[in-house]
Amino acid sequence: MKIDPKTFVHDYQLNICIQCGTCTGGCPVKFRSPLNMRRLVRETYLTDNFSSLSKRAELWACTTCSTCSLRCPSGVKNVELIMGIRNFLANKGEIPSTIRDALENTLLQGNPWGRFRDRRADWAKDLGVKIFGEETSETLLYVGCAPSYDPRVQSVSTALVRIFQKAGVDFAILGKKESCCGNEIRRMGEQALFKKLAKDNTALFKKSGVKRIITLSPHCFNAFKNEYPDLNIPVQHYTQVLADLIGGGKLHLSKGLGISATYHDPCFLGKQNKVFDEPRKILASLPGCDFIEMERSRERSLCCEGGGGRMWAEGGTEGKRNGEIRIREAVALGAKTLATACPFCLLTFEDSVKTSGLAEQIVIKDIAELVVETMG
Amino acid sequence: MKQIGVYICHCGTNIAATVDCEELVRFSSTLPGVKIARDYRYLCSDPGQDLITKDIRNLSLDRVVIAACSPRMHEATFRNLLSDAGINPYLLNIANIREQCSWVHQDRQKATEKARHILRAAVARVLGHEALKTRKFGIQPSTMVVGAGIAGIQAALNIASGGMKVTLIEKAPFIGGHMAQLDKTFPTLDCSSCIFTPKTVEVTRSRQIELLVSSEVTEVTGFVGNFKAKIRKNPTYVDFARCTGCGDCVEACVLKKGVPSEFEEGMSRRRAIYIPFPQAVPLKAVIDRESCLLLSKGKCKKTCVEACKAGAIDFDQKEEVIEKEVGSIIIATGYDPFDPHLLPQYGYGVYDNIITGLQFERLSSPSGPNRGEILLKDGTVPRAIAFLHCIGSRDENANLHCSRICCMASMKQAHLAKEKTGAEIYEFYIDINAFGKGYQEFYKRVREEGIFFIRGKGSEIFKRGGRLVVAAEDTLLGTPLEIPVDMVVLGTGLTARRDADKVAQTFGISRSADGFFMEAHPKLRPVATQVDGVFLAGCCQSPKDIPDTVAQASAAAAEVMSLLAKGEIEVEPTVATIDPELCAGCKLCIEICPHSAIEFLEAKGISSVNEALCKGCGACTAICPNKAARQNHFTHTQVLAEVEELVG
Amino acid sequence: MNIIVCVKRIPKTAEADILIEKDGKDIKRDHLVFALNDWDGYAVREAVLLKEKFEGEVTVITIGPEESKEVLTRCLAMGADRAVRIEGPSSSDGHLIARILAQAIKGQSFDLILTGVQAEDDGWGQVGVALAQILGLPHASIVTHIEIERDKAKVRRELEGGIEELLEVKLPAVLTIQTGINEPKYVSLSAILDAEDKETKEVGMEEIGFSSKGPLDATIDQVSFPPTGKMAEILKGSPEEVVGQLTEIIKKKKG
Repeated sequence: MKIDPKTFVHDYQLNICIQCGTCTGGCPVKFRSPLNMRRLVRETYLTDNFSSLSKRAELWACTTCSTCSLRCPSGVKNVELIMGIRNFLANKGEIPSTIRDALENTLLQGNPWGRFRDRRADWAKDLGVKIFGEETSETLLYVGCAPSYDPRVQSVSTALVRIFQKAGVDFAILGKKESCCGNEIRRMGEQALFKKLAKDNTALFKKSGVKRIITLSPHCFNAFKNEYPDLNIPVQHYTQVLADLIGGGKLHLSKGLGISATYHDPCFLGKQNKVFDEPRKILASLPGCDFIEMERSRERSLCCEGGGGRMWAEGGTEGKRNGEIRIREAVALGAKTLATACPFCLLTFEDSVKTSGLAEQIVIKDIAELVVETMG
Repeated sequence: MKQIGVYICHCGTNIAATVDCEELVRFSSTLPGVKIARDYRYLCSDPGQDLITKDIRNLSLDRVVIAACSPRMHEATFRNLLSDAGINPYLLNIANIREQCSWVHQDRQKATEKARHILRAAVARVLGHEALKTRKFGIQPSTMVVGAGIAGIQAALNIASGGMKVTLIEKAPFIGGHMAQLDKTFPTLDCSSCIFTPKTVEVTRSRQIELLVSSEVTEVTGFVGNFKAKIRKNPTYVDFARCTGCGDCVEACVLKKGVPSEFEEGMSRRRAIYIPFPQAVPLKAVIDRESCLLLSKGKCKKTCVEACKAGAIDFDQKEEVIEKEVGSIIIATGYDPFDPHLLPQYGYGVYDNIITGLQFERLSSPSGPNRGEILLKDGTVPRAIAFLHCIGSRDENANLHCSRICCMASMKQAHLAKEKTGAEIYEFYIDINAFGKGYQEFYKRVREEGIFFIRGKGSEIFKRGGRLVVAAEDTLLGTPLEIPVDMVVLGTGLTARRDADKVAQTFGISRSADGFFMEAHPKLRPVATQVDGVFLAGCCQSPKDIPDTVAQASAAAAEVMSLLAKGEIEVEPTVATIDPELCAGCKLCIEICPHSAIEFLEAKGISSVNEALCKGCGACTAICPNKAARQNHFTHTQVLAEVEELVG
Repeated sequence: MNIIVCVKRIPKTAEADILIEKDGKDIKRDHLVFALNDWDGYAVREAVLLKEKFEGEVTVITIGPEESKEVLTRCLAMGADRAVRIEGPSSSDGHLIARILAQAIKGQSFDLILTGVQAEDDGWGQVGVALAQILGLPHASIVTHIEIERDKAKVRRELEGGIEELLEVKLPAVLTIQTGINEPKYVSLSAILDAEDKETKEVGMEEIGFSSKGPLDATIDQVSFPPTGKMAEILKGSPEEVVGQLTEIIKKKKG
């Protein structure tokens, strides 16, 4: 699937841009890269040399957090433009080597890290989790790539399984058959691969008799909810499910945590999909957890820079990382725990906590990990 | 024997270049009933008209067909001609051979052939035309003005000074609307209340104006010249006749913590019994039933009753329904300011010292909560203030329209803030709309005063190090900025009233896509609505500054006066009638009539058209299964005769 | 300049669980994913770059079963013009493979033959050199740079210890290509889907006139895991635990 740069103006409504700069003003990488979204829109609109424009390294700095397009008063589709340019580059084969590897890996192994397909469910081996194909369920826990392979995020997957088991939620996973959701793939510009993944995954879900999907990652949540054309299966992020379980008294949370925690809104959960209240509801209900709100929260949350293929991009940005800014904000608030609900946020913050030398003062946790800690 | 005159206009070369007019003359002469056919260079000219008039007189014509331009252009001209010449004006028919023929074709032969068809059909139709009479109705020489902001007040005063009766209705317990809340006004910087108070006082003095506050129009029936309105007067629990406005009751009210004051835009609090503001007209205390402990919870010591020496407080007051008969209506219900909670990136409601434009007005007003001092919530003077333009305007996520006044209001506020605090002032703007008299000059003045203009829309506001930070881009430099300030004033736009839909339904008017009430024509009838006798004034029609509002209000008043001065109105006779012999009482016509012009006569079991309300749309004629509904000038016979010739 | 590139479809084993078949003569392949041999990818890319410079045609050839077609499709998506699949044995006998390829190539017009240095799966590194020998062509192995000058190629070879050898080879010649010779281009899925529509020539052994008479030069006796060395120790546990154990070991060794 190729997007023709000639149709960019029409497709992304570049001609209605009023050059107000709302996009650039709110861009999370505005001080970290030369990327200027307002100017990019104008330049793409006017250029007669698209090919040279597309070669700029800063095009890979965009995290696709969508703050720009959500706030744009004219309805310009800035993020789609970035993805359109990346698609143009992917089709020409001219993408950074790390992005190339991630895309090739996904085609081959079903995950961008190129980890062995058959090892996707290794984390769940001893947890007594039902696997579609062997057993059935109406509810699919779609794990995702990072939570399947990354040891730090596997702990979230394990925590979630334990919570669901305790609450008596009937669910199953796809095991080895699970493949990348494609959310980041689309954002790296590989529209065709995204389309293939969407088609294959949709077919697999339907064949497996899935009636409801719960995702661990907000990125998968976004892809299923907004970008799979023929899915028609209700999708929830796990925080929505946990908030319901806690609200309905299905989870007995007894062990006091004795922590003060703040929460970072993942872009793909919060601003893009408006799930703001459920994670807060969960945190507020945890015993011994003193919840403090960050200054930049909800729609004003500062992107951690983990989205839009940034997990696989190298360079393109300079200066202090947003992850580090976030951690310093949390520490300044007096929080001892920075909670989030996204594998990429979790990983970028884990990195930043180390590079900022604040590991003694704050820990990074996924909400599911905190919940499991209170189950005793 | 019918005697038709057919006249073919060349319209210079507009028609003659494409259509063979001489051939049309020859062809017309062969048509049944045609006594004379002629062509002429410009029929609408005086000699052209004389030609027809002479023929009518000399040849005793009784019907006329004009083959020329669209009837929208000159039907009225030729009807008048017939009338003057002594024939009923409805015995005219226009064959449109310009817009529908010569202008849209090139092949002369084919165009002439088409013109022949059009002409033939027109002649066939005019044969069936009937003489019709316009009808006249009397007009009630009174007006109802809905909304007593500056628009309503101006219109009411204009009409009253012309000696006509006005009922001025206001939902709030006081008059003045948003203008009463403003501090100084742009670009002249005269104080709003100084120029406004004389007008509000005049309203109370005028013998022609009956003022109804705390009142709402709930139902309107009737038609132009003869409207019947039901007005609900909500209880204020204070007898205005007795209340002296002394304020003793307010002091006595036990609700010491109070509730946010509507007039002060929540910048201060009021009690359950309150006088909205010191210059309120009428200067009376009112009780808010939501916050009054006795009215909401049924339990209170009634200290206000004790305190009132005039004995004005009356908890037994009930809502009243007042009926009025008026000849015309002016709607001047104003606007609601945009609610910035809807754009959460601006942190409104999250942080202190982020306020709306109207809140700034109250802050800056000498009668406001700070007696005109611009202070932060903690009582200190701000060192830096940011004004953000276009909040809720020109925004797909809120309202697409430009609210027109915010650029100027924001710059005026920046000027006041600079003058009063000496703070560093930033104006974040997209474009400066300085559209009025003296406005560009004011813009220049404010720039000269050292206010810092940043060409970029505020993207978000967050807090860092105890200060508010405005994130934006200086688009002229291409530099992203994060500017720390102490106070942010959001240039909130103007939106249609939340209850605009209900009001539109009550008066039978429509709303445009932006939610404001729709005028009859955006350029040529900006004050009228599509309902005869109902006019618009002020921001209920679109965002306006004070001069434009006053101008439109006076225009509405002039429209009303010219209507009332006539004493009667003529109604087009092209209305529907229902033949009582044929009507089966199925009521299909009543359902489909968009103007509620058909009523069911229970006694006779049939439907009947109120000719004053009928707009002649023809819906009932089309739906009536018995052909009982019949529309003058568009009878089945007439229309079918035309169609047969067109297709034949 | 017409170039022939010989490619191979191999299983990706780096991340996989390696299991050995019951007969002990091969690894289990059912659960593995297959791809174009990494070295061959560089060779195809190099051929396409040369073609862009000097014009001509790039033909890719593989020997193998039906499934091997997928690597040819990929090569076509990378810019190859023609693809040939020889229905033949998936044998690890490099000499046999070279003989079949030679038979198929013989009589064709070409200026250059490229192969990868070796295959990811068996790593014999034999086919290119043997092919040159059979066809009687000059060759160079482990090539990291190619420059064409009329009927000669100046090539750089990678030697041990970071030394490079520059030599001149008369064309036509066989070069075995080392990874890193060029910057690979991303091959988009749309390019692959487009290439699926392009024709792949399929030929049998008889068609190319090859008769597999005679015994193989080499047969596999057994594949096995090497015995665990004495100094090797696999640490088990969570990353934190592993790091803890490792620190202890280092401390101990340091004394």
